[in-house]
Amino acid sequence: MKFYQTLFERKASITHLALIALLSVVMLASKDYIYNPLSEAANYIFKKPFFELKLALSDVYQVRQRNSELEEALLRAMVQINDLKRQKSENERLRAQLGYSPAEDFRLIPLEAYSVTYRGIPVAIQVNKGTAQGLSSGQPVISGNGLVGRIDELSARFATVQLLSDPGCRVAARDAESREQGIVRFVSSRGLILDNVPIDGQIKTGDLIISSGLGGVFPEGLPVGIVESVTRDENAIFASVSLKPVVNLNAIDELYALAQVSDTVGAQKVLNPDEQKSGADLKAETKE
Amino acid sequence: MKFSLLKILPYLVYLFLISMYQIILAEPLSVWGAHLAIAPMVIALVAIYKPQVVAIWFGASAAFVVNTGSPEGAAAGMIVAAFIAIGANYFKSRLNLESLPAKVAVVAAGCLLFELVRVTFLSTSDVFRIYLVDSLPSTAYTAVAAYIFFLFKDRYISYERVREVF
Repeated sequence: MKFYQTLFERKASITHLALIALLSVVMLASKDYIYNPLSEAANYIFKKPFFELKLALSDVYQVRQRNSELEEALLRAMVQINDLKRQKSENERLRAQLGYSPAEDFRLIPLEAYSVTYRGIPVAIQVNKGTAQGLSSGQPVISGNGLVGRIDELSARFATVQLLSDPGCRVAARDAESREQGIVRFVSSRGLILDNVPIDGQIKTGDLIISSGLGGVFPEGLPVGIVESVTRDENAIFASVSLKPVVNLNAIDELYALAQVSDTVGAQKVLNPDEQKSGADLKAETKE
Repeated sequence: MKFSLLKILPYLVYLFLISMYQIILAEPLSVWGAHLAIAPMVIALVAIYKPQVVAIWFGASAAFVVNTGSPEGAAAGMIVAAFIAIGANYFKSRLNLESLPAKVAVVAAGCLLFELVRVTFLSTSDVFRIYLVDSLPSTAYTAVAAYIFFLFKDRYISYERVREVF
């Protein structure tokens, strides 16, 4: 016994090394029962607090970075707003000098789609608002990117939006650069096209097509599509112009009806006689 | 031998320091891709300044904590860490470890050994290249850090000495 005790004391390092080697082998042999619980415990005690700290520090850093980006964007937007305000007042002054009537004020009415009508492609969307909320037939409907269609059928609480992809929908439009005019319509075999563009026109691929305001249905300047191709046949009178809609009609997210301020105020007054004040407030809001 | 929480408290603090370095500080403190091999450095330091058995078990624990998630790495790391502890302790008792370069050399040798095992078990390809490009610079960086540590620990640099200079 004394011999073993002496040996243990003398060769303590070898004994402990052997114990550690044995522990390593046992750990490897039964990972599920020994290594994994020990590893999880070590992670939980020694590493998790620092992972949490690192994540928190990283969050703070990202929030600070985002904040400085947003501050910069806000500053740029403020400069842009001031510039636009100046341009607006200049525009109004010049219009007054030239005797033009002032541009109409529009109000956005948010719409929520609850069903879509397909004829191979989506051609109409049913929305959750109607005359009670100030919608009227023919009002343009837009999304964040541009023109989607117009209000077609109406009831007090519901409406149907005729999309640009409905062959019956026509939009008076023009090229934003060359100012050449035409009619945007959907043809099943060709997709969205700009009709009645003279063959010798300056229209070219990549141009933005906007509503021209002619016909009085759609206000001027709403983006409709991008010119995808222009084909000029020598024997034809008009060029064949294909468009790519600016709005993906298969994935429409947020919709707004463009209502003239006078329309919405009128609707409020007729349908909600008890809330006439809100109509007046609305007008005041819009003027602001 | 009486077991006391106060006795193991410093070693728990060392393990926390190693984990904190591994998770938070390793990236900011890396220099041209070389990182501080803090685990073998701390193991070697414990082996130099503390009893052998304590150093062996602390080394094994540190290797286990560093290599959680890799059973093979943890097993090999524990054995290598124990070897580092025994080696450092052996040199302490037989060589002139009062000399600063000798202590730095012991730390560097420990780091090289530990890195060799780490790279062998954790890298899937081109182990030799990783050892040359990653482990050797890291060992040099760790040796410099250990040298600075010993300068303060052995009072080559101290507040009083700095005050004397200025």
